Amino acid sequence: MIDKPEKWARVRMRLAAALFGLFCLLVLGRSFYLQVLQKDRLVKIAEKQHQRVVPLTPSRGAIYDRTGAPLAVSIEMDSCYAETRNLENLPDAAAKLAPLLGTTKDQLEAKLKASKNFVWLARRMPPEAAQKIRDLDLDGVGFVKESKRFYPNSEVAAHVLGFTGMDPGGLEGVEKKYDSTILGNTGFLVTERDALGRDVDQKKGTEGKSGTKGNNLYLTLDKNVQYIAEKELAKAVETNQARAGIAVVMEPDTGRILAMANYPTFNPNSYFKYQGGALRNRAISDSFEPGSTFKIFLVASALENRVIGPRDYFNCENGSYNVGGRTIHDTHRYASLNVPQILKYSSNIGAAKIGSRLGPERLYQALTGFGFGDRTDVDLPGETGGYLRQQSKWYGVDLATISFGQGVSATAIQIATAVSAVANGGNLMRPYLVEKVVDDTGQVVKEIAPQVKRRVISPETARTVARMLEGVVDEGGTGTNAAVEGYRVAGKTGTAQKVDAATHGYSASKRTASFVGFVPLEKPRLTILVVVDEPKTSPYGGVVAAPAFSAIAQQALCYLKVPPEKGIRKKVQQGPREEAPPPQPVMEEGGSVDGVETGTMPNFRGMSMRQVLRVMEKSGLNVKLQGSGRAVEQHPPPGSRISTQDQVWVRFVPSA
Amino acid sequence: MKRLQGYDIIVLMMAVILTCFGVVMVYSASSVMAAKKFHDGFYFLKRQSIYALVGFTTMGICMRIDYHHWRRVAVPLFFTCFFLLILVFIPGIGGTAKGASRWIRLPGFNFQPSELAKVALIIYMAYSLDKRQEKLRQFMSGFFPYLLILGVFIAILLKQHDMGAALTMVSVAIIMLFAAGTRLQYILGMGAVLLPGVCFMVATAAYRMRRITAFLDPWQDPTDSGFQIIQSWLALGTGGFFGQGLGEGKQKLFYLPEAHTDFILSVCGEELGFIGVLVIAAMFLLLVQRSIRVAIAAEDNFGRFLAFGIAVLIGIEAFVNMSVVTGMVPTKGLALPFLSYGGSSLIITLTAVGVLLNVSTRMRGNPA
Repeated sequence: MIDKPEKWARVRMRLAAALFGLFCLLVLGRSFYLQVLQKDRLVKIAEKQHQRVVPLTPSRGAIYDRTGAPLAVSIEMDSCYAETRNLENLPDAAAKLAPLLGTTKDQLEAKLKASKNFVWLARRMPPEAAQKIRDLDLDGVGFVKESKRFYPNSEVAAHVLGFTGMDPGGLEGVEKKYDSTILGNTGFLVTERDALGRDVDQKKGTEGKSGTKGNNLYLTLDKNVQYIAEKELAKAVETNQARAGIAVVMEPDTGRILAMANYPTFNPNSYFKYQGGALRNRAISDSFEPGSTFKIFLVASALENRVIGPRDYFNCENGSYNVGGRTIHDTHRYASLNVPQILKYSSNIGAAKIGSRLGPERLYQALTGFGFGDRTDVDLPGETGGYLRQQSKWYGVDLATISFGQGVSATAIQIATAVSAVANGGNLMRPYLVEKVVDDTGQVVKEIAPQVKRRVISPETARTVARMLEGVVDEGGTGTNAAVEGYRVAGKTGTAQKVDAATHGYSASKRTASFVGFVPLEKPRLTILVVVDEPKTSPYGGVVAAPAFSAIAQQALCYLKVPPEKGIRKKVQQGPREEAPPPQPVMEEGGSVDGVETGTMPNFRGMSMRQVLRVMEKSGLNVKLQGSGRAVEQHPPPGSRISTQDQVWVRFVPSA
Repeated sequence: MKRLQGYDIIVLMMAVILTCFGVVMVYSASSVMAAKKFHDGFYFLKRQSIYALVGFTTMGICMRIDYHHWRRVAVPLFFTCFFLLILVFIPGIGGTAKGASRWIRLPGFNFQPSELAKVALIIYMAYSLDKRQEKLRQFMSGFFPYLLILGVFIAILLKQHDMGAALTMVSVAIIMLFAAGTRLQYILGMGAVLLPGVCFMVATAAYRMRRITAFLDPWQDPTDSGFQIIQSWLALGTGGFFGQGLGEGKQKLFYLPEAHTDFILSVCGEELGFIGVLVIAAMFLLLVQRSIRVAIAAEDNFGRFLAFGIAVLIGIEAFVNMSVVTGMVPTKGLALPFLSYGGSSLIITLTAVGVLLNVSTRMRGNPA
C-alpha cells in the first residue's frame, strides 16, 4: 500500500533521476564541444607546450688565408644550462654543481634563484667537466652544443681576424665585418617534453631545422707574409723602444692586403685578457700625421697638373723659409734642389714651394683623389678616414705644411693604398681582405674582384714619380736602409711630430717614423708601409722604419718567388741621410748608368717609354715624348754630343 | 525475515567495472609522476588496488548486512563523524596537504573523515526523514533542524578548506529533503538567503576567488590560476574523438595537476577520447538511474531515503566532477567516485554501494 507522501517521494525521485540524465547530457555536450569541435585549436596549443624549441648555435665558417691555411676555425663544445623551474631541489642542485663549476654553493644558489627560468651555468665547457655534470643526472640541467672559435696561429693576423664573444657573433675584425656571411642560420630542435622540461618519447625523436653551416672565408692575407710582417714590425718597435707600430703589405695592382700587422698584438683565443690598445687595429683605426711620405702625392699631383717638370729646380732658401707667418725649416740647408732631390732629401721648403705652385685647390683635389680624408672602404669594421681639412678652410701656412704632410692625418691603410696607386700606374684601388666566400660544400659563393676606385694620375706621372722615389733609397737618400738585395726599391721616409694632447702643440720628442715604398720598381709586386710610433732611439723613418721595410720586402719577395731584377745594384752600405742630408752637387748620379754617358745622345730605338724615361732621368736630359709604344725615332741621333739645354725628343709607335 | 532476493546486478556491475577501470586509469595517470616522486611507477597502482580490494570486501559485507541495522547506528555514527572532523584540526593527528587539512593520519593511510561524513549524513538523514515524515512540511520542526546540522557541517568543512565536500553534502541533503517532501519554497528561500553568504565567502578567501576568476577566464592567467583548467581542456582536446590510446597521454606528464585524483577524467579523455568520456558518463548515469530505481522500489522509507541519498551522492559527485573537468563549474577539489585515486573515497563509496545493494534485495514489486 502506498501512502500519499510516499507517492510524492517517488515522483520527486524520478524528477531527480531525470535531472541527472539532463546533467549527464550537458557534460557530454560540453565534452563533445571540447574534444571534437575545439580539437584542432586545443591540439595546437598543447603541441606548443609539449614541444621545446632548443636553439642550435650556428657554427661559424672557417677563415683561411689565400693559400688555404686555417686562421680561424670553430670547434663544438658543450654549454650547460639550468631551467630553474624544473630543478627538483634547488639548494641541493646548487651544492652538487658548485664545486664542478668552480663557484660556491651560495653564489650559485643566488644565481639560480635570481633567474626566471633559464640560466647558463657554463658556456663551452671542457668535455670532462661536462661529463661530470651529466653524471649528476639532475633534472632541469641540460646541455647544448655551442661552437667555440679557435685561432690556431694565436697572434698571427689577430687584428685582421678579430674575435668572437660568448654568443656566436663576431666582435672585431673580419669576424665582425663578415659576421652574417660566416655565421650559419640558427637552427633549432623541437623536442617533445613534459612539464618538467624533460624530453619524452624518444621513439619519435627530435625534429626541426638544423642550423646551416656558415660560409668559409678565404682572405687575401698570406699567413707567411703576415708572419714576416709581424715579426719584423715587432723587431723594429722593440729595438727602437717604440710605443706601437703598424705594417701593411699590399698588392699594388689589385689592392689585396697580404699582411696587416700591429704592435702591440694579442691572442684572439684569450682576447679578454688584453687592454683596448692591444686589441685595436691601428692600421685602419688610428690616423697620424703622415709627414714626408705625403710629398709623394704632392709631387705626383704637381707633375700631373704640369705645374712642375721633373727636372725643375726650386730655391730651398738655405734651410729657412718664411711662409704665411711661419718659418719652415729644413734640417740641412740646401740652396737649390730639383724635384727628385726634394724627395730624395725630403726638403720641406722644396715641398712647400711645389705646393704653392700647385695651389690649394689642386692640392686638395689631388689629396682627396688619392683617398685622403675618406675611408678606403677596406672590408674591416672601425675604419677612420683620417683628417683632411676642407680646402676652403686652409689659411696661412696650411698649404705649405700640408704639402709636406703636416696638419693632416691619415691611416696606414690610406697611405699604403695611395702609394699603391703610384706603384700600379695611377689607379686608386679599394684595399680588401676577403678574396672569396665558399660555402661548406666547397662551392664558391662569391669572389671579390679587385676594384679600381678611380684613376688619380696618369701612368706616365706614376712612372716618373716611381723613378724619383727610387732615389730616396739610392745612395745619399733618406731611405737607404730600405734597399733590398736584388731588387730596385721606390719609397719615401716619413717623420712626423706628434701632437701633444696636453698642449695641443707639437710634441718636442714624440715622433711617428714611417717608411712606405714598393718593390720591384719595374713591376711592383708589393707596397709596404711600416709605421713606428714614438721610437726612442731615433725619430727618423729612414732609421727606424726603413730597415723593417727592407726585411719584410726581402723575405716576402723570396717567399713569393719574385725573380730578382737584372742589372741590380748592390744594397747601399752607407747609412741613410735622414730627411736632410748635407747639400750635394746637383745630380751626383751622372756617370754611367745602364751604359748611358752624360753628354752623348743614347740610342733609344726599340725601348719602351718607361725605359727611355729611366735613361733620361739618369742622364738629366729634358726630353719630349711623342706617341706611345716603342721608340722608333729620336732627335738628336744616337751618339750626338748633347747638353742638358738641348731639345731632345723621342717618337714612339705602338708595337705590333 | 524474508529470504534475500537478488541484488541489483547492474548497480553491482557498474560499481565493479568503474572501480577496476579506475585502477587502470590511476596507473596510467600516475606512473611517470610516481616513478619520479617515489621511484616506483606502481606506487599509486598498488595502493589503489589495495583500496579497491578493501572496498570490495566492505561492499560485500554491507551487501549482507540488513540495512535496517544502519538505523541504529545512524545517530552514533553521525556524532562520531563530527568528532573525527574536529580531530583533523589537532596537530599531530591531522594531516595537511596543499593548504588544506582534511586528513587523519593513520599508519600507512591518511583517512579523510569528510568522506565518511557524507555517508554518515545520508544514513542520519534517511533515519531522521523516515522518523519525522509528518513534520517535514513545517518549517521550524521539519526544515530548520536540518539547516542547523548542515550549517555546523559546512562550517567545519570550510575550515578544512573542503568546499567540495561541503557543497556536496548540502546538495545531497537538500535533494533528500526535497524528495522527502519539504516544501520547495523553503529550499528556494534558503538558497536566496545562502547565496549572498556564499558570494561573501568566495570574495573573502583569496584562493576561492582565484578559482572563480580562473573559471571565468582561464586564459587570462594560463600559467597560474587558470593553469589547471586549461591543461584539462588541452588534454580533452588532444584526445579528440577516439583518444590517443591508453597510456599515450601527455598532459598527465606533470602538466595536469591532480591527474590521478580530481582530474582523472581529463586523462581518460585524452587517452580514450570522447568515446571514453561517453562510456564513463553513461555508466555513471546507468548506475545512478538504477540506484534511484532501487530507492523508488524500496520496501520502506528508510531504505528509500538511504538508497536515494547514496544514488544522489554518487550522481552529484560524478557529474559535478565532470563539469569541473570540462570547465563548466569552477574547480572544487572533488574526486570522481570509483575512478579517482584515494582510499577514503573509494572504500566508502564502495561500502555505500554495498548498503544500497542490500536495499535492492528487499525491493517491492519486481526485482531486477
